[in-house]
Amino acid sequence: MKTKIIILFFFSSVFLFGCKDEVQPERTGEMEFVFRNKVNTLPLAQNVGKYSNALGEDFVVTTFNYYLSNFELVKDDGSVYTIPKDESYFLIRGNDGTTSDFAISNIPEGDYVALRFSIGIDREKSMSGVEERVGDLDIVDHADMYWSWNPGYIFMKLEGTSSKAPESPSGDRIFRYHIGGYGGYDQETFNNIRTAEINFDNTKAILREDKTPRLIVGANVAKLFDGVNTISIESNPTIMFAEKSIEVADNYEKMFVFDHLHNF
Amino acid sequence: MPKNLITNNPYSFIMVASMLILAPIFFIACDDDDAPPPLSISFEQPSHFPEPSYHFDKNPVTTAGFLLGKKLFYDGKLSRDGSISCGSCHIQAAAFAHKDHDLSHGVDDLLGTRNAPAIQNLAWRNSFFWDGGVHDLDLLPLSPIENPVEMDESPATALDKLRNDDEYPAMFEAAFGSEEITSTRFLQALSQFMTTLVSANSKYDKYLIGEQDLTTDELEGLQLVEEKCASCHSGVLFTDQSFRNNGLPIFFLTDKGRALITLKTEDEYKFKVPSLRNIAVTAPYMHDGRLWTLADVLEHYNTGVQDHNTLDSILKQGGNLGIALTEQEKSKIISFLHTLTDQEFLENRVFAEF
Repeated sequence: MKTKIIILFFFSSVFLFGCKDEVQPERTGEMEFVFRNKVNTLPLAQNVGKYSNALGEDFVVTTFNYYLSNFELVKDDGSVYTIPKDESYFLIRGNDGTTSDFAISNIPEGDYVALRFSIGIDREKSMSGVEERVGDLDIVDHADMYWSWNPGYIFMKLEGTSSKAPESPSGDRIFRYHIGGYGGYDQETFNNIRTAEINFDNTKAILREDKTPRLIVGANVAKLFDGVNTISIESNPTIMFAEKSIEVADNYEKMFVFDHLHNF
Repeated sequence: MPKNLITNNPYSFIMVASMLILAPIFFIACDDDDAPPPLSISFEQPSHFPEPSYHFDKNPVTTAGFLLGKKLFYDGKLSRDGSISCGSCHIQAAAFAHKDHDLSHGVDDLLGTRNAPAIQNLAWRNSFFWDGGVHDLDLLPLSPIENPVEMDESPATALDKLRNDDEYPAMFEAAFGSEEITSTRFLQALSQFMTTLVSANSKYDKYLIGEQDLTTDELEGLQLVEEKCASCHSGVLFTDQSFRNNGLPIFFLTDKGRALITLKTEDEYKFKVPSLRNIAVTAPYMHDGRLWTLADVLEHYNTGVQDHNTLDSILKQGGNLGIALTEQEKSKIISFLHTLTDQEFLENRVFAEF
């Protein structure tokens, strides 16, 4: 009898402590993000579609890649959920649909009204050790999106052909915009990291454990030529690590637009 | 009795015979003072050097990592056509600079634009290349691999070649614990080899730690270097690691040096101050290898310095261009510079390709 009481006492105290310590875990869910490359209202047909910019310069896009990072979701009460930094680097490649359609999990349940992200890679990660550059940041796997001679990621790479671009010895007429620059590791240089905010147009992404909203964002390549700055292929067929790149960065800041949202 | 045992056993004769044949071999082996001990590599901090700046906490040097890095360093597989390795342009006898080449030739004999610098004491360097574009040694090798006039290979293809190689997977396992060949491991192994290339045993070093004397000429040369050169070639590493325009005629210069990285006009035509260690064996000199002898270099500072708006102020003091040097002073400086040659480093078999 005595032992029974002791055992009972022992267990009850365990339960008691157990209840005291237990914090109701926050319920989380998943959200899907889709980035669709466009030329104004039309889907971008890479390699085949012929378009023209506001200056009337024709162009075909052969490469259109960009780095997005540091995703944040804004709730309808104004509070912000920041995706853990290392889970929040995405390289979108125009010729690889698997890169432009991805899900992020472990997001707290809520009604979200906006998405914020950076275009580019922050200074801390840009200067980090090689062991911290994994996945989409691997500088060997994605060497085409990285300058090795002046280390830094290429935030946005647009290449294509245009009759306005100068003829190369092989007869091609190619324009190349490789835009990067995180500010310099010891000497201050330009910073082409930009932030975009996508408001869900008075709708809400209803995110629950069992409800996964799907957000579609448009990336309008035409804005790179015709944004806050006008970029001429004829005048600037090549823009890389130079001051002119700031004008392109100011254009890509406004390149991303809300397209639509699915709630399930 | 033992005799009987031997004769009764059909294998005994063979055993005894082999023992007799092998005994002297064992004897010689045991007695041989030159027999190499098992190779054990680590980063060794010279007592008279400052603390290194390389992040050994993230990438400690191990024997297996060093051996892997060394194999990679000397392997042409890293180039597009298999013809060029790191060691093609970085030759040990020249302190891993490119002996007798002003510029170096890569795949298809294409010429680069800058002189291949020595690879020594990189663990103390805080930036790399003549323009200091790279701030971390681990990030450096991708540049020569990708450069169309150097190795012209996609780094991803280079790593695939290693994955399909007979030897590399086992070497990566020995160095990093599994056969997986990642970009991080690849670059860290190269750094393990390169940071181990420490030159700290020259005659001058032995003078510093009290093991050897310098001659009168060498001592006077040392004093002249301290007076006239050490504002840039400072400290035991003989460089302050700054970027300076040292007054080379720029009329045929298209390379704007440091300004390519900082995009600042005040950095135009500035290049990294190189170390003077092993300088007697690293000819030719300057970022484009335009000067072939130490006498030419000193004559440049004596009479050749050209004014320019980014010329280093040290080279135009009191309205005079350059650093005035008599023939006698030049000769003494050159005597001293030869004491910076580190034969042990230049001839160390552990670093050699073969």
